[in-house]
Amino acid sequence: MRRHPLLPHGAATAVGAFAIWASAFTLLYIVQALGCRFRGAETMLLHRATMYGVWIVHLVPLTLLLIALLQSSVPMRRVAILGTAAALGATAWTGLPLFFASACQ
Amino acid sequence: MTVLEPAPGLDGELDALWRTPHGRRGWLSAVNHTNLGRRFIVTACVFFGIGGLLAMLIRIQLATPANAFLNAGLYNQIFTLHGTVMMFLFAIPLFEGMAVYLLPKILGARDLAFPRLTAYGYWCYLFGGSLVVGSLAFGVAPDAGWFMYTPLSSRPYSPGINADIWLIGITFVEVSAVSAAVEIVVSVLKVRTGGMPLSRMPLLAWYLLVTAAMMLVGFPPLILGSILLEIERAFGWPFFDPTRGGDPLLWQHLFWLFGHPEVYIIFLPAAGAVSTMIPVFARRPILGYDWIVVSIVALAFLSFGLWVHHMFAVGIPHLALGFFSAASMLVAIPTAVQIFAWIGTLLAGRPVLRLPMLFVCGFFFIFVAGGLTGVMLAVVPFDWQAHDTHFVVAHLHYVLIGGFLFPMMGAAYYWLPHLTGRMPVYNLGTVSFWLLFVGFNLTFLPMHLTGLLGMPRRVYSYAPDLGWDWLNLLSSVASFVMAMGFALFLADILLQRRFGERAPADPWQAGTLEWAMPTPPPSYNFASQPDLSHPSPSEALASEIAAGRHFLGFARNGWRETLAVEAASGRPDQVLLLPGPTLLPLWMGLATALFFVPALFGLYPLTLLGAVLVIGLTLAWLWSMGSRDDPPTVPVGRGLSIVAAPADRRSPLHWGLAAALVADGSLFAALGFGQAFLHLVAPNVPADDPVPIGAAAILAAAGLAAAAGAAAGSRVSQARLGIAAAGSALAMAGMLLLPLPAPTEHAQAAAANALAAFVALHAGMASIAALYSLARLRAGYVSAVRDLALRNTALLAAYAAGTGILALALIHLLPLAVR
Repeated sequence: MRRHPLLPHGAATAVGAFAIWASAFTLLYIVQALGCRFRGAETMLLHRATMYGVWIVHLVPLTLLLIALLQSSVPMRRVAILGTAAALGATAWTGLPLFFASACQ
Repeated sequence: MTVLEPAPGLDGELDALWRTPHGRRGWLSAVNHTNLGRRFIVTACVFFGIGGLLAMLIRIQLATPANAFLNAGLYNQIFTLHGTVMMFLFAIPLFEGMAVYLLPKILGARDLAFPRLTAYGYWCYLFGGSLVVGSLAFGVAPDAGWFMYTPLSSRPYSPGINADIWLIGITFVEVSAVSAAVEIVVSVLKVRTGGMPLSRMPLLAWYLLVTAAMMLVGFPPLILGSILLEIERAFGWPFFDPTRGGDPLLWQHLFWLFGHPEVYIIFLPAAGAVSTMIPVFARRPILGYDWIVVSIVALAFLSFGLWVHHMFAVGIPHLALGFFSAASMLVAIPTAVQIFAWIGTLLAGRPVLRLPMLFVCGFFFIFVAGGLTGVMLAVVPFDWQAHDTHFVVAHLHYVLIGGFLFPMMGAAYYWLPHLTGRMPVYNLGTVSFWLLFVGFNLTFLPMHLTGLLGMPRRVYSYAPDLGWDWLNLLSSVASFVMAMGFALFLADILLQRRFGERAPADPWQAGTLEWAMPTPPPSYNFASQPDLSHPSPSEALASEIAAGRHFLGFARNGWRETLAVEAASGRPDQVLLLPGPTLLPLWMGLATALFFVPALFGLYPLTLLGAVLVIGLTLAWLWSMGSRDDPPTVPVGRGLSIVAAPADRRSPLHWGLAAALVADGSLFAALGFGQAFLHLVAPNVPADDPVPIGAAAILAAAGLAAAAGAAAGSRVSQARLGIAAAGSALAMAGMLLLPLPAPTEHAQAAAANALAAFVALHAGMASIAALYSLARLRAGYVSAVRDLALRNTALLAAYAAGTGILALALIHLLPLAVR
């Protein structure tokens, strides 16, 4: 396995992966708040679709990062892989309420 | 019995360099981490004693219904101070003391990165803590609860100085916490011995690193909230006043943005102690090192996504509740991973039940129980039923006492032979444990029931026919059993110190670095810093270290030398030359006190004088560092020669500034959040039309752009520094002249003025830094290879410019966008 030129140290990768989770969490909360402040009946669907979009936009890079890590070598590789997998799971779990909770009530 | 002794002659030479002078002046000027760590720990324990006495008074009052022992006003002061003392003056400073004392020892270093900053942090803690606790003697202690909810803590409902004492005193103490966090982060990343990469760092160092990083991000929202509330109380800026567009919920957001991570900031260092002790007493290496590192990082992040679970009852849309509820459940997983790693290590090893392990077992039982009630409270419908009842009081004590106090008491017994050089003499510790364990559970287990029966928090009295009587009486009696346990613990420590036998080298056969030195530790820790690139058996390593055969096993030029390394690889990359004893931190602490204390009484000219003194002393402090000569390359032993005290981007000072700016950025983000919250979420009375972008705003933006541009090209150049200084000054003038609405009219105007003040302050700081760097340049302290002052100025100017441009957008564009 070769060292991937773009992947940093494993500890930094784990921190970066959870930073992506933090970004997802923050943006979901912001979009939810903004949407409830501004939406009308005609934009309800757009509001929810935007939140799904935010969620997926964060799931994709975490998945790609995990795949890249599985195929390459970095210092503290196991920490990088475990951290990224954990961040991916956390992001998926955090977005689940999108499927059943009312957005603004 | 093996006792480690340094090579003849070397001990005296090193001790002469590193020791703290005797006498009063020596005590006041100490900067050595061993002295300061002990001092933090002892002071925290004194505050713990005070907080414990207050808890006893609370339990006496609640022992029987309609008790007349305390009146309502005094009870309010006592329970507020109990929570405040335990959280801010005991738990966090005890962790700081542990980190300050232990970190260099477990990292194989001779001291921390910034010894004078440690001393300054101690003085801020002592002065701020004394201010808060001393207020009780004058009957003006804070009385609005340890989380100071508005509007109760606002001027109309708390007209005295009680709330001001909390806001100003705790902010003063937080200066200490942020200083310690900067110190710990930089020290773990840079000030280790040679050959210790991140991947082989002791787990305790990982815990302390992550905890300190969490403090950098978590504490500033509280500092900001305290500043805003104090400004509201003193000058009428209505951030939290709903009659003028403010919102009390903004305070709750700011407080819990700090408050929930705080729980993990308290838990993680204790978990670090557990992760250190368990492998020692299980007689095998810990299982799942990598898993634990990931769990620590996960906890650090996830803990910032939980704060709204303290606000589930305030009326928040279901989806937002769902996000925070999901994160609240998620956080149990990394905690569980650590617990399983510990249990697995015990199962796979040959555990011996020594006294520290008894406390670890108590921790397992109590903390897991507290964690489970935490999962219950993370479920929104249950939280709505139990919110603000004694169930929550029980839960938080199970988590904090179980998750912090029990492991820290175990840690105390584990490291006391290190601190004192003595072993325990009697078996008082075991008796103390059982009194504490039984007393604790009988005190707090019944509170789950009184809470479920409807007993609210913070009531000073209750009617006799509610079914709460016997449970409260049981809690009160048991709390005295607990108090006896603590008294025995204290007696045990004093007896050990006075009568204990001399501790052998490495009394627990831990084989870790902190035991590879004589105990109590010498002022310089290691006669030579261990070279870990070729690990040898621990006993041989300890002897070699003591004989001075590893790095820096000598004294030269009167320098206090310690190695610094590349953060990831642990390769030595420089020798740090650390400062000796000085009164400067004390003077700085007194100047900081002059800044804070007069504000309590509205004596703002004195506050201004304090600010001027702090700036002046900071510049004097910085000026005392550096050299007019380029740094020499010096031999450090083991055939290696590296540069001494490089004044460039490798310097810990550069890392320290970056860490401080992370904290400052967190404060700015919280302020931006406040501005957005007041415009978007708060159910406000409408504000006037937004102010159009004026000439002053354009002036400020141009100045910020100039500063940023100059900072971007950070090569040595007087012209660039001049542009940065002029641009920052221009930005400051622009922000001060900005035609904003009066801050007392509306909360949104108050927030806009606060943002403008933030930018003006930072632009002013960047100007001063640029002028200072110009002076350093002219005095010959700067060259092509000594460009630290320029790099730091560039970083500060770029930061001021970045936040300034964001702030201008928040002030001018956000209101337009909302409309």
